[in-house]
Amino acid sequence: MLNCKEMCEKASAFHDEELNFYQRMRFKIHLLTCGNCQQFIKNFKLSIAMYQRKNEEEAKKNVTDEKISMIKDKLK
Amino acid sequence: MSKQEANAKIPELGELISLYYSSMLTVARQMVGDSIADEVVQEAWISIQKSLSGFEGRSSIKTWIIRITVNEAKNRLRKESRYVSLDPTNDGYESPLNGRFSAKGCWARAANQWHDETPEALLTNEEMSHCLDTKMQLMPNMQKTVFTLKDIEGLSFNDICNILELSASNVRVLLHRARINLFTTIEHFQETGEC
Repeated sequence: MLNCKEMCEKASAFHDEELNFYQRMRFKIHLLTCGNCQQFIKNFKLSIAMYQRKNEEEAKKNVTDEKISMIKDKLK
Repeated sequence: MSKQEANAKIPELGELISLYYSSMLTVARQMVGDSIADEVVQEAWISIQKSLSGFEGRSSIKTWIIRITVNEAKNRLRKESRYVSLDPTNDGYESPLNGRFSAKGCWARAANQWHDETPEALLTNEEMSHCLDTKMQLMPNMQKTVFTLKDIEGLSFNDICNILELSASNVRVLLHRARINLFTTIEHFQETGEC
């Protein structure tokens, strides 16, 4: 059985669905029985989702039609 | 796919700009910072215009464009002596989670439930958003770049390895470190209200 430290080390592989069937089962069995790791994985995934959303909002602010037009004009 | 077939499928340059400018700016901002990201993207477009007819279709057009942007950013960092390409498996890295586990590998200080439980709720905290910007700037360049390419731009591991000329295992190590850094930064802010 995986311990909690190993669960943290494999969190990205789990998130990216890169664990094989056997590894995934071991990961999920630990998750079922460990509230601390459930909370960690929840927060870990939330961190990534939050940063993705933050970036989407910043991209909307930073990418203006003026900037795109300026690049197009420069390359003419 | 032949070079002719690849070229026939490429959109016009103006359309490429509309499609990929945002992704390029995101990558450049993470690699070189806000102040010179626009310049890096402009230089990248000049390179793209020069070499577009030579695009061979060995990767998607997006991956090809991002690779050129990353190379422009690396060139700029090298010029400013800011480019550091370390072997991530041999750089003395210590996980911020060290010390959180018992000798048996169980949580000694477990993760707590956060006050804000959705990405939207977390984002309403402007101080934390500024804190993340600061911490991301301090993150090693390769970590930030891998994280941006995978989690923001959604590129495959294979494409990231090719763009950054890193092994698959090193890319995965860097990505995990970046995510753990992000997690611990948000966790610290949620628990203390401080950056």
